[in-house]
Amino acid sequence: MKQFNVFLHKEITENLRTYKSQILIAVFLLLGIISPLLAKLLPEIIGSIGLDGLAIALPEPTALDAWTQFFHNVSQMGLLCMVILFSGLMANELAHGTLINLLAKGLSRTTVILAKFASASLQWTLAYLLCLGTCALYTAFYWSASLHHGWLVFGGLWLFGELLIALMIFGGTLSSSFYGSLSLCAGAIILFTLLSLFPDAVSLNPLSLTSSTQALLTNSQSITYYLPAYGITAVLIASFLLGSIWLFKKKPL
Amino acid sequence: MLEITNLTKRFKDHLVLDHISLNVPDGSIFGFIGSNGAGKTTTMKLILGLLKADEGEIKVNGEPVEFGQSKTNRNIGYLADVPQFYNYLNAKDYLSLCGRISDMPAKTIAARSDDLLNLVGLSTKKRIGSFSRGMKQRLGVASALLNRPKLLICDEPTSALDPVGRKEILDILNQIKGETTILFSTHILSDVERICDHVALLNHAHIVLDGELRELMEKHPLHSKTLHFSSPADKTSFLSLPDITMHYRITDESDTSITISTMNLESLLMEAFQ
Repeated sequence: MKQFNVFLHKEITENLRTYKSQILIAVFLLLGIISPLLAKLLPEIIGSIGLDGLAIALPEPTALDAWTQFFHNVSQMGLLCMVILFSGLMANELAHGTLINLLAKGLSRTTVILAKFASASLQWTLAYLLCLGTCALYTAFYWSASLHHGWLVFGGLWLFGELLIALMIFGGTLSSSFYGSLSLCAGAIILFTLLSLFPDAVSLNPLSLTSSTQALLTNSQSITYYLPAYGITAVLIASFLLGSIWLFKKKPL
Repeated sequence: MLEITNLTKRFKDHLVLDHISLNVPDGSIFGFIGSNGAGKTTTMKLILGLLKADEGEIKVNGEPVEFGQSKTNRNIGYLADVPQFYNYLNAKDYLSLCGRISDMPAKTIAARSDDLLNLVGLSTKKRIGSFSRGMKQRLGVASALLNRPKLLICDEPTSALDPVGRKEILDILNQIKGETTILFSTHILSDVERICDHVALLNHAHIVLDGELRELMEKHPLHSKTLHFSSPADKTSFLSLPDITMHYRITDESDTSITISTMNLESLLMEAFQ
């Protein structure tokens, strides 16, 4: 446990001194601010374009539009930003050989994987909560509305982010390269997208955690329908982490 | 301190180590000699459990080494040929990280870091990213010695350095002689002659020569020179020079002449000239 705390501290210092944490927080804070703002201003922006007397009737924006923008922005720009920042999590250390000296000092390989996952999770959670809090504040300021299944909807996107972190660690351990880690993430998302073409698999597909938000927010789909996807994602996260530990222990350095 | 028995390692079809056996005695400075690509780094990584052996056994301080496990590494300090550090830390931060990973008490880490950074001449607050290769090598020595290891493994610590950097590293290793057992790999024979007392020569996956340096030099001198002095007093004062009798095999020829045998003629001539 002591080694875990020491290595976690090293990871957090690294992310702060290389400005990764600051970039992540700034991007997510921006997404939290612009999501409700875009929802609020979109009708006015479209209205001001002026299409030669063509009248476009847009409904009055609601809190739901703000949250739709939030999920749209975070699940695309937000996750992309996180993947780019964290793809080198394992890969850079293995490619540069910086871990060799610490492993020669008696650092356990399991600790390396778990501390890296914990550090990335901590930053992702913090950035996501900050984004969520900012968006909630602005949304409450512009509109007042309650949400259906709020925790589950927000938890779904967070869990999908955790899956990407586990995938990046697994990809980095497997390939020892930044691009290997990035490719594995891209490959998994392509696979999940292809799976979503099959209606029967929607309730099992981890991608539903990000794409089902609209249906849950509008209460047009029941919570229980998507629960298997949450379970499968949790199992995948645990499997990729255990797989990374197993792989790293077998990896010649 | 270190026992290697029948160690074999293959990389696909390439046999790097073929049933090699080696015994590094306590307190020795053991020169592990071989050309580039001979398998010295592979052997050292096998000792650290960073690579998996195909056959054979390695024991550090009586405990068997297991691949992927780092238990035996608590007795070892390791200096890689090109040590890699975190560029965003300074030397003291890095030693603190290493100390905490080795479970050393905070006070000991602080005191030992100061001592070692003085020893290697690195009392700077600059981040490691701005260090020269020689500075990184010296930080590597400090980090390897931090937890007072019983065995220090140095993988070609002088090969990539200029003559001044080489001298600095060899001087540091000379200073810790006696405190810890040192396994020192190199292809520079003059470095071996300068600080080692035991050697093993790795060639084509086999240990072809192994033993005490002085004995080997007596058996296999590559060069010998007879020096003639103008008086017996001059001869006596030459023989009283530090390190002369320790590092070279000397045969008395007459009252005013001696024959010196060495593996490295160049360094002998330099000493004689001085």
